Amino acid sequence: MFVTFTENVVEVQEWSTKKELTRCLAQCDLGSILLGEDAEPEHKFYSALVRPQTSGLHYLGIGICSEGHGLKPHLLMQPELDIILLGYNQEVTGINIKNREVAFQIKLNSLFYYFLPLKERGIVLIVQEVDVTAITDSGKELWRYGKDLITQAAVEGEKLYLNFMDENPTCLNIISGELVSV
Amino acid sequence: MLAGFSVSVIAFIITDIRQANRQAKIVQKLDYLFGKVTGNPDTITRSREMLRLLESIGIYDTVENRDYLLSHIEASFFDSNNVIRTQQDGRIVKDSLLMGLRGALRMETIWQGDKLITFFLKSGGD
Repeated sequence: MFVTFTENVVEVQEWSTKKELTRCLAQCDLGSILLGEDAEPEHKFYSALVRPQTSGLHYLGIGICSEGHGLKPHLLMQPELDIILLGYNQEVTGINIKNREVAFQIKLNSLFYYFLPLKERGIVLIVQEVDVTAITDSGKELWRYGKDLITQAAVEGEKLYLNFMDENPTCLNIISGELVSV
Repeated sequence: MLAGFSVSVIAFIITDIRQANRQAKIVQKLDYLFGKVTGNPDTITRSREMLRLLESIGIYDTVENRDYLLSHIEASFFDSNNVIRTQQDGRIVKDSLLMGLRGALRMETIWQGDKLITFFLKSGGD
């Protein structure tokens, strides 16, 4: 599968062993970054090969070792910052495609589920199994909140509505993370 | 003497209520372990994966197995020697070995105080 991202093409692939993944990364002439190596246990392996369209067949390799748990890693492209955000295991990593290096890394308190980007506010909400973490587009953490398994998350204006398995629903202000009345 | 006895009875009742409350919350979370949740697709996927792992060691969703898991999780809560880490947010992660008819899984339970938050089931390789 190919995804076009500014002048880059990203090819996403799944591997059954870490050996296959590292072999693929070793062939990337622009370097490679392997994420989630401390995963325990490592169950699934993914690569995202980034090819700048302007420079022929050259690749930057990004590899992910995933704990699995039935979940797959997510990619969020931020073209205006040349950053790809990757969410996996209990972590989010921002990779600067131009500099070919890790721009920031955020350790989460629970399993990563998905990104909820709020472009007009410059905020990305990271929805997890138990928590929500808000970061800026450039990876600065704004706040985090969690009290139980999240069964639903919805944004309406400046409010984030959360439903939990064993707790009363909660409403938060997206910018401050403070509780607000519904 | 009588006052001391009353205090003991009240303390016993409070402990009993707390235990019943904790057990009720664990019972609700067993649905999550056995793939019976609704809502967020990731929650459903994760829940089904835990069911798959449980079934792989012969633990199916039966009344007996729910009782077994409740006792296992309670025992894990009361064991003071199984804390493997404390998260940044203060949640405590406890480790245990869950035995089924066809094998075993490592079960990590995550607690906030005496409240069960979630679980991780880990197999050697699947």
